[in-house]
Amino acid sequence: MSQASARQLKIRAMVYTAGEPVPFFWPMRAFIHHNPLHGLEHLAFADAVRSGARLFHARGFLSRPDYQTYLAQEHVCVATLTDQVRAFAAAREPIPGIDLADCLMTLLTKMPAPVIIETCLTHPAPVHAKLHNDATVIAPAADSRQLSAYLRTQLLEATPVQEAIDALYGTDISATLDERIIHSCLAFFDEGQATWSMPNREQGFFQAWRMIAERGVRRRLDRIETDCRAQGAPFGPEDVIDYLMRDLGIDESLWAGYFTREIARLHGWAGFIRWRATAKHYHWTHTHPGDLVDLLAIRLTLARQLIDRRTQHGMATCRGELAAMIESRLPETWLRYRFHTGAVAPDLAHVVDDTLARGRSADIHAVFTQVTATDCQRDAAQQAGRLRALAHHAGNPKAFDTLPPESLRHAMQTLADFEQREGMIWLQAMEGHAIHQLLDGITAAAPRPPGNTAPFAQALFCIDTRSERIRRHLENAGDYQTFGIAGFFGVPVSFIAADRGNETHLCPVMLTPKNLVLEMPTATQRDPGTVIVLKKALHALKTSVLSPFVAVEAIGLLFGIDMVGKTLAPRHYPHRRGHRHAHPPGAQLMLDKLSREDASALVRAVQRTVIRKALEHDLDSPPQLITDELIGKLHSAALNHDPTSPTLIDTPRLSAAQAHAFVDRLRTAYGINPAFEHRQMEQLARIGFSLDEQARCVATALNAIGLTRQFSRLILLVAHGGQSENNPYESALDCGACGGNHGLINARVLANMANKPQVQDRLRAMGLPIHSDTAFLPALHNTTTDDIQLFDLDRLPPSHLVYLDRLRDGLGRATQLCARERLPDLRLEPAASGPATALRDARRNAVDWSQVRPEWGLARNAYFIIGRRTLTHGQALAGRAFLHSYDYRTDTKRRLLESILTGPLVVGQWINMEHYFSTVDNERFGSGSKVYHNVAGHIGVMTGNFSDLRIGLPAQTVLDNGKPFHQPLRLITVIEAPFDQALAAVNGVVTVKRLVRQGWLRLIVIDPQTHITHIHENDRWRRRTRPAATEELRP
Amino acid sequence: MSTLNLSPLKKLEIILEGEHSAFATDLLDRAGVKGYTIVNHLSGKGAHGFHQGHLMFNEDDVLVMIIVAVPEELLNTLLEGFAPFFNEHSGVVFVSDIQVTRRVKFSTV
Repeated sequence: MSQASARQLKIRAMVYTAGEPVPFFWPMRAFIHHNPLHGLEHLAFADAVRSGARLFHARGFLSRPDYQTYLAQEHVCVATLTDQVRAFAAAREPIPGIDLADCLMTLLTKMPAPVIIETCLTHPAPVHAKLHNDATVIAPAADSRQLSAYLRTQLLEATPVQEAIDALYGTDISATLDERIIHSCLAFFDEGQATWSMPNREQGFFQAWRMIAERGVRRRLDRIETDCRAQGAPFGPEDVIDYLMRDLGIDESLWAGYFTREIARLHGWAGFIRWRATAKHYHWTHTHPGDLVDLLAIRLTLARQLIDRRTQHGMATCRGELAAMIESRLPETWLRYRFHTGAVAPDLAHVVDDTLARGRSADIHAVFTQVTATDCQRDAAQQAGRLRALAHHAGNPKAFDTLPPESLRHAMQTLADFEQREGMIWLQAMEGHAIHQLLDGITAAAPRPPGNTAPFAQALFCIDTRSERIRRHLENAGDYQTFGIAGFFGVPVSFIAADRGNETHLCPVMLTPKNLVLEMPTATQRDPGTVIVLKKALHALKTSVLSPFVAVEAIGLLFGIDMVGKTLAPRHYPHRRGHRHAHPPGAQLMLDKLSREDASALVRAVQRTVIRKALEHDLDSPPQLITDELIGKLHSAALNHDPTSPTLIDTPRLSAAQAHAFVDRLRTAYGINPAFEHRQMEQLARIGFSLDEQARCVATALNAIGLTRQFSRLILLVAHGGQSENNPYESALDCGACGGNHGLINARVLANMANKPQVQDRLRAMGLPIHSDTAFLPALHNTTTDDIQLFDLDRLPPSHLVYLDRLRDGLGRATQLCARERLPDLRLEPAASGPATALRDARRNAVDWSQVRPEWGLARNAYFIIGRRTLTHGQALAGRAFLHSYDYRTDTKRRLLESILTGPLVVGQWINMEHYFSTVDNERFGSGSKVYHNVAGHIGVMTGNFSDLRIGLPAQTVLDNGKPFHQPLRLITVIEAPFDQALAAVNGVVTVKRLVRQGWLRLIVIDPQTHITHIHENDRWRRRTRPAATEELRP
Repeated sequence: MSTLNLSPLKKLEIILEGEHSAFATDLLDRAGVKGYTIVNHLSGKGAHGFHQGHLMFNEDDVLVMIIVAVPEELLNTLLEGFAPFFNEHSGVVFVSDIQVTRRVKFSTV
């Protein structure tokens, strides 16, 4: 990489910040729920929704009829709705003869569509005339300053030049440009789907694209490069951006906004490229680098090329010409804009078209006057009709007819402002209902007497909303106590499966695991000791080809695993994951750290094997002639940089010089050198956890959920994962806290750790009185069928086997009851009746490859409850709540609460916002119907044969027959802790404080000491008292 | 000590949110700096209140500090390069004069 200039770095930073409003898109192999407006979270929710709506041409709230339907279904708190309307009305000047609050309530609840037409706000006089049926009032002459300002906003500022040209001349440059960009992205970022792959991809997106671009494009780029080089400056995509932006005549102060508009145009691909550029561990980032700077350089180059090709003499083709056109030829520009954006009345369209084609100035002026007057009259008539309809519904039909012009202007402005805020008003009223529903349930929860003995079994489930149902049914099925914890069980691991070639991060995506866990297929041995590891490594080396050895990381080299990934790339998408929860028989997780001696021995063993293979490969040495002594000498020579090469006694054909060259090749090509050895040792140090780390992981998990005493004999660690066929979104049904993977590995890791006697000794020393007969057992909750499968039973002490029948019986009953509760929402035919039938139907659904909705997943999520189980015990929350166990009494320093807020809560908020926006605008923030999806580049899906990468959730996940199934609410977060303690924790974490204060989630604190419930609303706290029912409850 | 041959350099301490550290190190790499040190999990108080450094389950929102020593001629390049970023983001860059013994380790590639 040549040294970049300050200018290049500056443009790079500008593009980076300009791209931030575009959300990351993770490859759908591991679906990551995220907030599509994450890049705007520094703004207040309402402002961000407005900005996002503009940027992505999307809607940020449901339509009014949808909210009215919710109102009719009693999902809206009428009191909250009324209070907000009254508060809005009270802050406004009264309108004579109109009860404003009543009028606004009518608007909300009775009017199916917006009342105010924006353009009428600037000309209320014609509206007034229409209301009075006064035909004498003629439309005012168009205000050229206003029209000019409007056009400048629409066509200049951040609007890309080609979009302005399309809007003025009816060209389709932008659409063609998008197509070309999608083609380029599909070719470059393909991960194995294409039959033919793009050449030179290793040189990066921009360079690879440049080499196969059409001749005109290459010539243009050659010229730019020549200019750069002539000035002695380095050349890169940044310079292309710099040159073309200046060529287009865009002032540098506007570049950031311009870049954002260009990047956001295909926000699916842009989001993927953004994510990919930051994912340093991603295989394809290494092999085929590409980032937003490349994308923007390509986009601007193609745009310039298309502008030159598609425009004719006399057309504006750059920013300066566009600005001049607005100023000097306003009537023509206005007519062009209105005509090509489809805003001219149909009866005038022909006239406008012909006049523009003839191009006579006088005619254009005449038609301009006619069109603006007609538009004004048409809008005024519509506006008057809407106002009358509102007045009629409000029971005061003449309300607006009698208003003087100035009062009418004020009334219209008030209604327009209200309609701007309407979405937030509905949202808060719906949240008000959900909050009351929850808090009323909490108040009514019956206290459970504290028990003196430990329950039969304790089970830790993921906080996922789908766990709420199964936990409730399990608790009712017998003597079970359940807890909620983020599904990675507080153990972030990077995992290499025995049959996979790449590391998978099993933790929330905002973490990078430090520790690596390997799955070792040790069929005959129980203990994954060093000797077995070594045997495996050597076995893998024997059965592999030689060439990849030199390129792979140390761990792959040692275990014969990663080289598969490096050579063949991570598993393709979509892949069959039918057996993804299975693991090789007898496979063990390698959890413990290697000692330094073991690690050194391993590295040496591999080096020696590599040397042996290199002798065979490079020098054709017969295996029988390669002695240990020879290998030792070569090993020593390569590592010690011995200037004298050993005598290659068994390869007499070689001269001394050739031998010397071979040693050199061992160092450079085969990585037998101290630096590479050091890296190998560093990589090996990542494997496993030390005993102290293991004890700390277990202690943190137990403390975080308040399980600090009365340990049962059996403690289940229940991970979860979905099951479906033929479903590109399968991973979206898995665990968000495990990076879109099922959480079984994490459960097995924690169980393995917690079952170790040495770890349990340490736990007892840390104040956790864990019994020596307590056994931790990993399990997997299949959320599509509600089956719970137990794992690692071969590690269970024989003394515990007698309890398995009882355990399975309890789990089985919970499974059936849960399936019966859940299935009616799936509307399977025929409707399930009994629990057993329901379970059978759920299982059939999971293997039905034509099923577009195997389960509802996390739809309808609404609550995130951080507190003791007693808070919601017995309350049926219909799978709508993330439940994180937390006992404030074990967290005097607030560290645990802060960790829950920054990790699990943030993941929950991403999931919640993904569902929110996918519901309110499924076409723009969601991915539309699954039926039309096609997998693109093994990365994501497109709609039909060709579209941007679709972000968000499909219609089948959040909509039911086109209507919202998911209720779009902000996450209602409840913390059970003393108010000051909770507040300090929230304020102590900038991210969470911002989310709360900017309104990205709703926060409620239930103070168990004062019995006061504090509700955060509009940046203020208000109190809600409740009976002292649950204070003395035990978890 | 008199035998030590010291050379002047500029030290930059760049503090930003963890989620942007890949961007920052990429910029440094492109500028040709030979190496840098990253200090994770910073605690401290700034315009946005107190930042906790011990967040266990979220590295994106933790502040990090990237320490880099560069020859003076590279200083303005880096400051100019980072300017658009810091116009939009919280964070700071401290610049100070330092002396190092083995200058060759810090010369740009």
